[in-house]
Amino acid sequence: MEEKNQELREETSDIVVLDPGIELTDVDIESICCAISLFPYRSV
Amino acid sequence: MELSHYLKTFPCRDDPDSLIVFSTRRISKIRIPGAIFERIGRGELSLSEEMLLTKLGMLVSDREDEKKTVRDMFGRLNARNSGLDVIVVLNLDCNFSCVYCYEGAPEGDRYMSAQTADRLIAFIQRKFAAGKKSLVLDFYGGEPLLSIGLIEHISKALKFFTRSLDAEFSFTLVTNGSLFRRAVAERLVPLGLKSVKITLDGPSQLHNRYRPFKSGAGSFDSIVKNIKETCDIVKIGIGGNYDETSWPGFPSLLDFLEANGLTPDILYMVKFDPIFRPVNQKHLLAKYHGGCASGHEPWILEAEGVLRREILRRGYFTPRVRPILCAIENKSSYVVNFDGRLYKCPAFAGHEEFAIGDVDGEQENYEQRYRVNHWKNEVCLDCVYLPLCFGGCRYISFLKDGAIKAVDCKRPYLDSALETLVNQEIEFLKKS
Repeated sequence: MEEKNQELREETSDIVVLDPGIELTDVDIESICCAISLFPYRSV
Repeated sequence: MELSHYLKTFPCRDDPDSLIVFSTRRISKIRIPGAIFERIGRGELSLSEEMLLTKLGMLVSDREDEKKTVRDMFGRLNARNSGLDVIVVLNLDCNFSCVYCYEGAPEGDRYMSAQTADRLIAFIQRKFAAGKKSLVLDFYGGEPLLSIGLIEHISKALKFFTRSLDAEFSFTLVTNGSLFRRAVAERLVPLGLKSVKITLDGPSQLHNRYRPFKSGAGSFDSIVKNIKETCDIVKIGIGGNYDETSWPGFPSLLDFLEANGLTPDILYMVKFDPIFRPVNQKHLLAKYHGGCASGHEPWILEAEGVLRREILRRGYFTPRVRPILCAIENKSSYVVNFDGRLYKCPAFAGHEEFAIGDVDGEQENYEQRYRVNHWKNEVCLDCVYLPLCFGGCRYISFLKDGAIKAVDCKRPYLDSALETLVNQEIEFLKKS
């Protein structure tokens, strides 16, 4: 997704697109909701 | 067309006449002259400008429709989710004695039995009957590699099963890294091991103080040796947990990793997080007095800003500010504890009041216990930060109040931190 976003960078004469972002329909629920990264206070 | 409800504007550091506009819904970012931004409200944009801003999610046809779309997002994602995710807590044993661990001293060996593992396999096979196309297991503990036999048993069975259905299968490990030797990696990669997350709490001296072996000996050298031995055959990410006193030492860890060949092209991710401590359950951490009670403490803002910048400027990948979709909202996500009990979030594993049955039978209607829709209130639904928060982390609410009484509101944190985080991403996206 990072690569795709970078490829999509584009500009108009006045508005500079710094990051085209993501479509929420592209969001992969199982890949983003990895709870493990959300609770660092566990023992591992 | 009208402006999206989910926009934040910040001053542009490079150009005082321009603004940075950030969409919290689409995480798109632009630099726009202030004069043009003012024209949006007057409907005076050119067609190309309007098309561009619409494409980026910054202009919408109807703001109320947009808010409804965000409110219903989990329903749509669940409807089209063809994957099944299962976090498997294999044991609650560990060969480390981390100072901030509040799993507590295990009473007896709390390991998943072979019989429970077979019940778990059957549970997953039943779940797959509903036309799933992919299965991801996250093996967790305790220390999962103390149960490597079960990892092999479970993954072999499910690799065979998913292959018979022409579905995808992979698994990950969250491990302290001390047992992840090359021979172990070579056994597990052919079975579907995709990535490993290993924790380093700073450079050697600091890490060894926070994460020693049970014997008291330092673990840093063993872990780094194992990472070097295995990083060519499996993706390895580095996590790290810091507190108010330890975080300034973490950039030295990044220097160490770079100097030892563990560069951004080798490690797939680096992410450091503050240690949280339970406010109402102090008995769980009787000997450790660091950490934070909430994510809004001022030192966290400083630490996160500095450490994230240090990670990004060296070229390591760390997650962007993005929509947070909690596993509890995912109808196809489960946590199976070592005893076969089912939960929706690994942080709640072992808290019986949050069990939703076991691998032999799942209870319906867990939503109320986990307060699944607690963010669907007037304040949250009107909040510009909703896509980045969705009520925050229920476990942090639980640590704070002893129950999920309220949302873990991230507004104070995002009000303070978002501009810095967005500017970091702009700076380092430019260089990429």
